[in-house]
Amino acid sequence: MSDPATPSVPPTPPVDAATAPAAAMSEPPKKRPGLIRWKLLIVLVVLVAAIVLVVPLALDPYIAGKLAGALKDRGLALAPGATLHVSLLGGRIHGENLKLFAMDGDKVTTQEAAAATRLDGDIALMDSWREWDVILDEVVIEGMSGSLRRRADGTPPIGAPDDKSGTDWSKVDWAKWYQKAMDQYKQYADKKKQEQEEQKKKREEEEKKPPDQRQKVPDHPYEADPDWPKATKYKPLRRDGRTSSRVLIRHLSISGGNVGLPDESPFDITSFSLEGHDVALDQDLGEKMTLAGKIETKGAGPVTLDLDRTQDNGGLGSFALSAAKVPLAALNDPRIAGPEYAQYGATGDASVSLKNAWTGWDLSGGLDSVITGLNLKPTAEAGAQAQQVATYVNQLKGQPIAWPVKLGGTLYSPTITDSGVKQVLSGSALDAAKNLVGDKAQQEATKVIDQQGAKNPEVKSAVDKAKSLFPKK
Amino acid sequence: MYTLYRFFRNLIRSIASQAEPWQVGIGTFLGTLLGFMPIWPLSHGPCPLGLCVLFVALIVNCHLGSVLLFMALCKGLALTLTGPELMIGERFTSLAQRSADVPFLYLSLWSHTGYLGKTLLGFACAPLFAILMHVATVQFRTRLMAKLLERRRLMSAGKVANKAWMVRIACWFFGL
Repeated sequence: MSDPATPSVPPTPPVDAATAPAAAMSEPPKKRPGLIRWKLLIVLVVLVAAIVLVVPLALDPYIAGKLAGALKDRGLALAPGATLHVSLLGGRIHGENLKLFAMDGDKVTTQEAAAATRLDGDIALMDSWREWDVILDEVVIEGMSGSLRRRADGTPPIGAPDDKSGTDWSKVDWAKWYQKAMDQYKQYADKKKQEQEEQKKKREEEEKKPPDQRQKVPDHPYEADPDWPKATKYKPLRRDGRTSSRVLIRHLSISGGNVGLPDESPFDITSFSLEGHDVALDQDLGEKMTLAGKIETKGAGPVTLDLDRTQDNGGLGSFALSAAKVPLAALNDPRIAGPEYAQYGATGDASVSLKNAWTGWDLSGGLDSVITGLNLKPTAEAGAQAQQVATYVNQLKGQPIAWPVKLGGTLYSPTITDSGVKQVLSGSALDAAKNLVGDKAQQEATKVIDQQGAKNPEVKSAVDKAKSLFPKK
Repeated sequence: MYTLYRFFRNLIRSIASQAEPWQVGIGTFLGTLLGFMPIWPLSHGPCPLGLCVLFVALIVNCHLGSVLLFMALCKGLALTLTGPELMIGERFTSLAQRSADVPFLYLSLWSHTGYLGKTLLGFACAPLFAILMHVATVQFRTRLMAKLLERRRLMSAGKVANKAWMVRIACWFFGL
C-alpha cells in the first residue's frame, strides 16, 4: 500500500537480554519514507507519454471520418492524398495538399471545389479556457484556390445541395445578401446592446446603495439539474452581454491563386493575399481588428482593401478599397450591380477609390471615381429617359469624368445621399468640352448646359435621371 | 455485512501496517476528499479538481489502503447525506455563482449547489478524519499492539494459556 517505513513509535516487544545487542547490531536502520512515489510518478509519465503517442493513431482517423461525413453533407469530398493532423495537447492542426472535390450523389467528381497546399492552425488553449472563447493564435492558409460558382440550380456551393428554403438562387443578388446578413447581425448586436444596458443599469443601481446593502455577486443565469432537481447549477455570467462563445483569430494569413466568384465576371480572382490581426465578428471592448488584402482579378485590375474596426455594435471603423481599372461592362450583370445600373449598358474603365468610416451604425464617407471612356448603350427595355441620358453622356466622347459620390445612411442600410451627378455633368463635362473643342466650344457647352438645364425640362429630367447610374438604397 | 467487515478489517490493518502515521493521515485526508467530491459524474463529465486530488493521492507517498477505504466509505456516506449537502450548497450560493465564472471551478462543479455542498462537506470532514486516524494509529501502535505482541510471545513460550484463541484471532484480525 505504501513504501515501507519504520513507524514513528515502533512496537517494542520484549526480547531476551542476551539476544538484544546482537539483534540491534544485525538490523540496519530503516529509511524514512519519502514524500513522493517516484516509481509511480515515472510509470504515470511513461503511461501519459505512451497515450500521447498512441492517441494520434486513433484520433486522426476519427477526425478524418467526421470531416468526411460533414463534407459529404455539403456535397464535397476530401481528396485521398490530403494529410490532416490534429494535436489535442498542443492545440494544433496541420494539413497539407488539401483538395476538396464536388460530389455527384455518392460519386466523387473531378471538379475541384477548393484546395490549399498548406493549412496551419494554432489554438491558444489556456486563453480559450480562461475566456470561454475559441481563440486561435494563428491561422495560415497557403496556396488556396477554389470556386464559389453557383451550382446548376443556382445554389451557392457552400451549403447543402438540397436546399429546401424555396429561395430562387439564380435571382439572388449580392447586395441583398449583404443587407440580409447585416440585418441579422444588427438584430444580434441590438440584443447584445440591450443586455449590456441592463447590466450597466443594474451596476448603477447597486452603486447607489449603501456598501453594506450592495449585492456582492451579480446574479448569474442558472438551470436545474435533471439528475438532482432541487439543486441549482449556475452558468457563467454573460460577458459584455454576450450570449455565446466567439471565435477570435489573432493572426490570419491567407494567400492563394484562382478563386471563381459565384457569377463568372472579370472580378474572378487570379491571386490574392489577406493579412489580419484580432479578427472577430464579436469584438471585446478596446480590441482593434485590422484586415489588409491585395487581390488580382481576371479583368478588373488589382484591388486593395484595408479595414479596421474597434469595438462592437457598429463601433468605430474604417474601410478603404481601391481598384485602379474597373471595366464598367463587368458591372452590367443585374446580379452584380443591380438592374437599375445594368439597364444603361455602360462601358469604359473606372478608377475607384472607396473610403468610408462609421461610428456606431452611422456610415459616412465617399466613393471617388474617375471614369474614362464612358459610353452608355441602354437596352431596349431601359426606357426613353435612359436613352436621353445615354445620348447626353455619349456626347462627352469618353473624356475623363470625376464622379464623387457621398455615402451615408447606416452600415446595415447604406445610402447615396448626394450622388454629385449635377457636378459631374456641369463640371466634368465642361472639362471634357475644353479638351474637345477649345475655349469657344467650352463657352458654348457651358451656355448650352446652363440654358438647357434652366429652360428645358427634358434636359433637366435627363440630368436627374443620370443619378440613377449608381444604385440607390 | 461481509463488505462492512472487509472495510473494518482494512481500516485496522492500515493502522497496524508499516506505514507511518502521517502516511495514514494523509491517505485518510485525500480518500475523504475523493469520497465526497465529484471525480467523473456520468452526466457532467470529468471534474479537474477531483482528478487533481486523485493524481496527488497516487503520487504522494501516503497510505493507499486508507485512500481507497475512506474514498469508498465517504462515497457511501455522501449518497446518504444528499439533503444536508444540498442545504450546505444553498448556503454558499455566492461562492457557487463566483465559481461559475472560473472555468476550473465551473468544470469541477462548484457552480452546482449540490456538488458544492458535497465538496465543502468533504473539506470539513477530511482534516477531522485524518487527525482521528493519525491519533488512532499512534495509540494502537503504542498501547494495544505492544500488548498483543507481548501476550503472543508469552503464549508461544508457554507462560500464558488463558484466552489464547482470543489473542490469536485478534492478531490475525490486525494482521500482526
